[in-house]
Amino acid sequence: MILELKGITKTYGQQKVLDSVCFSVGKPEFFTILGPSGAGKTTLLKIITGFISSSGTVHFKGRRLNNGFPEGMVIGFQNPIMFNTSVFNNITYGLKIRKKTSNYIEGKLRDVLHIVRINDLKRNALSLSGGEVQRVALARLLMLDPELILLDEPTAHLDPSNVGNIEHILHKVNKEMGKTIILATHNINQAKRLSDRLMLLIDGRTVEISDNETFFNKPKSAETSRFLKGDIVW
Amino acid sequence: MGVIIEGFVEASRLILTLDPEIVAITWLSLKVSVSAVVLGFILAMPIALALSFYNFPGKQFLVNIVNTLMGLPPVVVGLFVYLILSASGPLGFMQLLYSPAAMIIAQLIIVIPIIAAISYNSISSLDSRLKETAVSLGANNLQAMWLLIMEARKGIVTSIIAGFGAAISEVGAIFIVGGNIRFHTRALTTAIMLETRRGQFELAIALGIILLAMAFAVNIILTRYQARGIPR
Ligand SMILES: Nc1ncnc2c1ncn2[C@@H]1O[C@H](COP(=O)(O)OP(=O)(O)O)[C@@H](O)[C@H]1O
Ligand SMILES: [Mg+2]
Repeated sequence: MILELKGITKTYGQQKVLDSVCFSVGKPEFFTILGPSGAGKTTLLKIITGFISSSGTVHFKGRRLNNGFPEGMVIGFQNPIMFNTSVFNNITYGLKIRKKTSNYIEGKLRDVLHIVRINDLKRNALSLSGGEVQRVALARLLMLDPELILLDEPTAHLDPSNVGNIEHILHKVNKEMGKTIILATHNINQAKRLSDRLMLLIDGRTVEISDNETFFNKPKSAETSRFLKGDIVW
Repeated sequence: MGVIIEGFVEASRLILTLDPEIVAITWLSLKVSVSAVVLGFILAMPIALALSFYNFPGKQFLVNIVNTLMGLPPVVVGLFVYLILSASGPLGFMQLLYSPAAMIIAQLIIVIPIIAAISYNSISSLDSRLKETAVSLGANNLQAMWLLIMEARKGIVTSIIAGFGAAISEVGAIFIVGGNIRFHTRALTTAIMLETRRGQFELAIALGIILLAMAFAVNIILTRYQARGIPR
């Protein structure tokens, strides 16, 4: 078990955004948090990474997380933002602030570029297209050699060819590099294509946690079936 | 018309032959304004950073003060510094009145709010995701702060140039506290004022050309810098 959440509850004013969410993720699993927009996916990922406080507990590699950003974990935000500098500087930022040698950085860069294709490292990152931004953001995370990667809607605003490209990369990162991935998405087909296991989150409630086969072919919950058929309007 | 043309011809000669008085005046102006901007930057940055990165009681009040001081009339600054430095003032014993040091102090007071306000503005208007991203990549507070400063570097450089522009073209404050003493505290702006009143148009025009050239250069640097994509 690499990550374990127990009784995660979050309220904003009167609204209960997350209602005692529990799940655990093993290594090297591809786990998807599927849910319509407003379900609480982003909030949940930000709780795991310590950006938002909540009640309940998060254990990462057996250690209870309190505050501060956990080492060994990375997050790709919904709409990632690039630093106003070269693609190279963006990708190597995490290692440079860790004072890694340039030999080490170059070695890692080679490994990462093997998985994530990036053409021009000298370009200013602010001039990249949407698909390129997502790839550079992914490369920036992978450089840190994380054990757990959280991704918040990484293909939300991309065109189909870029979606395919990113999904292909994620698949390789999980199956070839052996990284555990937790993906938050509202995209049912994407969840089906990528996940080993899924959790359906609606209005902050855990509707179902099942493996891919069960979830899509014989879901345990009637609400899941209705969601998959598109009967739940969102 | 003849006067103007003659004035320009004579002014060009004065500049090209590096007339000692013109050189002295230009040098003093540069010395005073550059010193004020360098010191102003050193003093204004902590203010800008404190406002950008920390929450404390009275912060909004301080922001309002800084913004208001940005539009401070130089003559009022001159009067204020004069009162403090004059023989009967609290710092009268330092005998700084009518010296370049007094001029630097006056311009410092004009420059600090400009640099602080523009820098604070450019840092605080950065996308909040930048800090989260830096932290998620392992940056500690100091490293995240440095990243934000680098992201706001255009605005910070702009604040320096704007501060210099205000200092070099300001007359009121340095006239009051400097006294416009020849070869001592006579700066470009105060000299132009004096020579124009005396009808010494050649000298006034020559100094005007130099001042304009400086303002122009500052603007060119500014617009070039802002138009260019940030280097890495
Ligand atoms: N800072 C906040 N203050 C108040 N409500 C919030 C805040 N952040 C999120 N919410 C609410 O929490 C719910 C879940 O939001 P979010 O986690 O962004 O959902 P998702 O990522 O699944 O679309 C939404 O109803 C949203 O309006
Ligand atoms: Mg979201």
